[in-house]
Amino acid sequence: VASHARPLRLRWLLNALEEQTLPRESWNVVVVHDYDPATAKRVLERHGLWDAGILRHVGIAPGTGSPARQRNLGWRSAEAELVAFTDDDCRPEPDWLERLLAAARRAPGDVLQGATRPDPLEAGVLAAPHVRTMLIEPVGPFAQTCNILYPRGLLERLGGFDERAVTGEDVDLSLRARAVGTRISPAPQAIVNHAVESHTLPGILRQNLKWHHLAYLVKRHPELRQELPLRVFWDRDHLWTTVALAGILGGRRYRPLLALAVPYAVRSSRRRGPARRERAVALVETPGQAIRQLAEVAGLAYGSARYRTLVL
Amino acid sequence: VALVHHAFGSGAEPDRLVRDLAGALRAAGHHPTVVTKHRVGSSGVTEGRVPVVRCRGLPEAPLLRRGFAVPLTHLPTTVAALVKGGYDLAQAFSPTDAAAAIAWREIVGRPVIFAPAEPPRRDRVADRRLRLRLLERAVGDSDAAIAPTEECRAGLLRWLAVEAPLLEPADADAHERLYRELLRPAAARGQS
Repeated sequence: VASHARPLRLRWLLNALEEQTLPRESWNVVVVHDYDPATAKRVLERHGLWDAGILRHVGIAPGTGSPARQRNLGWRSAEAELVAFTDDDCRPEPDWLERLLAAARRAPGDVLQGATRPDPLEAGVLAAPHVRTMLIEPVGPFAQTCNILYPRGLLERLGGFDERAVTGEDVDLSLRARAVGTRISPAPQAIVNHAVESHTLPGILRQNLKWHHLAYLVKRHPELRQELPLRVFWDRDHLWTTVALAGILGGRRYRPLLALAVPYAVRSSRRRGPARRERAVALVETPGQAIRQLAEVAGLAYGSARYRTLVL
Repeated sequence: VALVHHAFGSGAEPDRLVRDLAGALRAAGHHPTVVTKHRVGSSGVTEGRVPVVRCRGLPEAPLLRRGFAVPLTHLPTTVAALVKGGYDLAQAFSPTDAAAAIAWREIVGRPVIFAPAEPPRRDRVADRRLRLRLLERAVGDSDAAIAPTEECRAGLLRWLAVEAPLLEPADADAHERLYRELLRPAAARGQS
């Protein structure tokens, strides 16, 4: 588990791991974090898993970490043959490790991806206009580290995560695994609940700044373009936002071009659901959503220029 | 002493904790006042022998629909009531109450104690917008966190990694010791 700036969420993750049904002699936890010693002591060393000798933690200097570096430190300091990754903002179900291990026995040598869903205990937060969470039905194209298991031998063979990647290091690793002929198999019964966090518009824009580094990932793995709409856009929202923007700009000279904004408007109005109230809420939220998506597209345009490959 | 609890009078278990503490403090010669939320909003009411200040709030339904941890709309009037009351110290019984008390402390410089009347549970620590932020603020920014029950003490440790001492509401002596300890720096500031 790589952890940064989420000590309480990390504590909740440890609580969830404490409830795992897999016998304790079969697993242990390594947390790599950049917390100050007092926080590490309070959150990690005063936990039942620490007392039971199952939890170890590796502290690094604040500001020197990255998901890739921290995960590499973590799996390299572990001794097990199978390495399961999850994130510090996740809550695995009690049978998570048991299910992953059973799936690993059925498919030895495979990478296993479990299912990730927005935490049902935090579903109320989904009413917020700007939310960050995760929904993954395995096997997805991106093989995120919030719920995945790698054989240690494969991690050693691949050299672990690419520490030059600021983001998307998990996708990169899975693509390199596929390239050497490793299968990524589904373990849909191994469920992890992902935090649902609401943000203000400036907050979510700040959070998303890092995504411009996805251009690095696409440059390194051109085969990823098969998963992208029109092989250029990161997702459908970005596609329709860009089309709408072109329509609005072009419509100033040639009015029929305004019609290009219609798909975006229709899609945006259905974001919350079909009911009248849901449509009204979606309408109110449209300007904020548009700003957010335009900022994401602009960020990726910047990343495209930086890494010299087009992704929007 | 201001005992800040938005749901005072609802008849639930937290009510008993506030009443017990108020009664014990009164018996020990202190002057506790309960500061609570009420949609009517009137002050100077007494319930039993405890003075109660009721702070007006707006309807919470729109905030509830947007996923917020309610109540929130009474916070400005609660802060105003605390400032007006001239209290030495505020004891808050929920994260929302602690938000008001901490805002009051920023104005008057008096200490705040966070004593959650309900034990923190996983399904209640991040289930609504602002819930986690209010909790983090209550724990991190209060001058002291205490547990009025064993369940609260265990919940604070498990979910918030806070080792809070257990101070039962009927134990006025223990509360007084804590109050005096917290008020000492404030008094020193006042003298200088």
